[in-house]
Amino acid sequence: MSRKIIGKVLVLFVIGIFIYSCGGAKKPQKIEKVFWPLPPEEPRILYLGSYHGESDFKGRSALDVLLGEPEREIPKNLIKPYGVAARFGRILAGDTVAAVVFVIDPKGKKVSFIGDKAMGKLRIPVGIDIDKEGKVYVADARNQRVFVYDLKGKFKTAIGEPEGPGKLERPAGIAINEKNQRLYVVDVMDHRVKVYSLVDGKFLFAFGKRGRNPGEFNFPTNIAVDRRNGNVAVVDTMNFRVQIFNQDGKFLRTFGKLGIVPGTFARPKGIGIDSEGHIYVADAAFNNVQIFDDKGNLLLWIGKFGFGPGEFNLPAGLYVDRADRIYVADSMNKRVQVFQYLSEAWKKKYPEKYRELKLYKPSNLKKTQEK
Amino acid sequence: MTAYLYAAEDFVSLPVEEGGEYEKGIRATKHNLAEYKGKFLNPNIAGEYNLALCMWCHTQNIDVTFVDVEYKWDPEKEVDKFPVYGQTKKGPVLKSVAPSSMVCLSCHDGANAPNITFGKSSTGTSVHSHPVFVIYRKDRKYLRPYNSPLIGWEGKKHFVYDLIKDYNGRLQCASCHDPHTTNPLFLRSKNRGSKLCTGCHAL
Repeated sequence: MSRKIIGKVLVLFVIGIFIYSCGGAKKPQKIEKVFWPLPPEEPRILYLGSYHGESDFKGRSALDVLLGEPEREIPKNLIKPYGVAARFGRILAGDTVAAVVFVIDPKGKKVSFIGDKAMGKLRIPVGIDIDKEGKVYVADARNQRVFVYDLKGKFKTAIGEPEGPGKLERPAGIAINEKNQRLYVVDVMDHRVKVYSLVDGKFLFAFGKRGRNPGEFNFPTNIAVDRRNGNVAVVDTMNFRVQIFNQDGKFLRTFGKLGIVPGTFARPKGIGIDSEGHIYVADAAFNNVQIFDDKGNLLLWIGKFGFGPGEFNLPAGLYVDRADRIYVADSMNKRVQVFQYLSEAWKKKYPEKYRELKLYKPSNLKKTQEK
Repeated sequence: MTAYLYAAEDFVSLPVEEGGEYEKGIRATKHNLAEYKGKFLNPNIAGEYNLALCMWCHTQNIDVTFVDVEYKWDPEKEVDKFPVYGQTKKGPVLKSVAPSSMVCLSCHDGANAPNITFGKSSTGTSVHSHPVFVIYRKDRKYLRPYNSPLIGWEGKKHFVYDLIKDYNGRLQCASCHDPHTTNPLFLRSKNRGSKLCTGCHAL
């Protein structure tokens, strides 16, 4: 008799533990800090987090699963993001398969979409940028236009002419310069960078042509504006280099060549420039982000192939926002990874966080150093 | 370097070397990223001129050690190669996606080249044209057994098993596509009368 009771108690206990362990996933765990370079070097880049889409905010709790709560809506998540941008606390990621731009609002914990309505329907969104009025510019590789929306997804206008030199054949990366009110669009198939006015969307001029000499391109893809001086850096993907021009398209310098050692490129894609002029280049073959100074000297690289924090699976677009946060579209991992560049300004602003980081000992430190 | 430079100057008169059938194929296709108006574009590579056609994808296999790199902050430090296309020093990480498929995906992203879409969208619908990175199940989808012959397929693909044997039994891009061929859609066999499809599917 008592044995039966003990048995029942045991069963209940086991069920209890099971339920407890299911809910346990929500408990705050010790989160490993991921940063580069490892101590004793000065930390420069800190991993902040990853965003996948609606499931970041709408997950079903373990209790729902146990009680058999009916599945509500299927969360819409990134499938194969390419372009990425961020401003006003929102992260924008263009998905080349879902054919929409995800507007992820981490503070408001919600996701909205741009380009899913009939007006301004997107097909392959690639380059994204946002201006200070909250206008979102999205280059669509198949629609051969740069579409302009507001942050809520209302279609405003399209840039790109049907004929002539202002026609976009396959626009990819874009970047805006607010100081001179220009929009720089990389045309992959025309091997040119085309410049439009932000005021009225008119075509101004283009620079470059197909070739291998300085100032020429072979399938360029992405572009970034140096917000300090207005220079533009263009990823010349199939020439395996980065070329830097001034804001009027005059060639300044180039760096990088084909290779599989640090400082060279095999499949360079996304590019971004931070407030101190460091150039970040994502490489899909190496699955990493290499960081250069504005003269092209290699400073550091972050990441390797994998699925964890700071690991990439075919990184594509890259964006550096005005607070020196680095956003990388990690296309095959179906997410956007966010990093922080630890500038002097950041260290002054967050002395506590900085001290914590300086004292932090990564658990895998020894292992990595032995390698 | 000299060999390549001469090639660029006097490209048209140079014969394609013996055994260079791949080069011949590449030159006639869209995968010829090197040639523009009869000249080679920036391969910045030394050695044989026809490497200019290969190194876009075979980056890993081509000797690029001539690239002088040193760490500015520590010139004595040995320069390590990056592992490329989803591999580590110990070999490929993913069982499902072979490094060769990673090479395809690294360009076919919608911006550089037409997009490859695969897998399931978050709404559960399939978004690709043909399943890829899946296991070849010979008892499903009217699939033929492993030892069925494939006639006229390029690249030493004589039996169905040849398509998957190098990839853990999974279908990869290179199972049905050959980037070097001049066939439409870079298929391993011309698909006239669904010949390519019926290589694996029996209806």
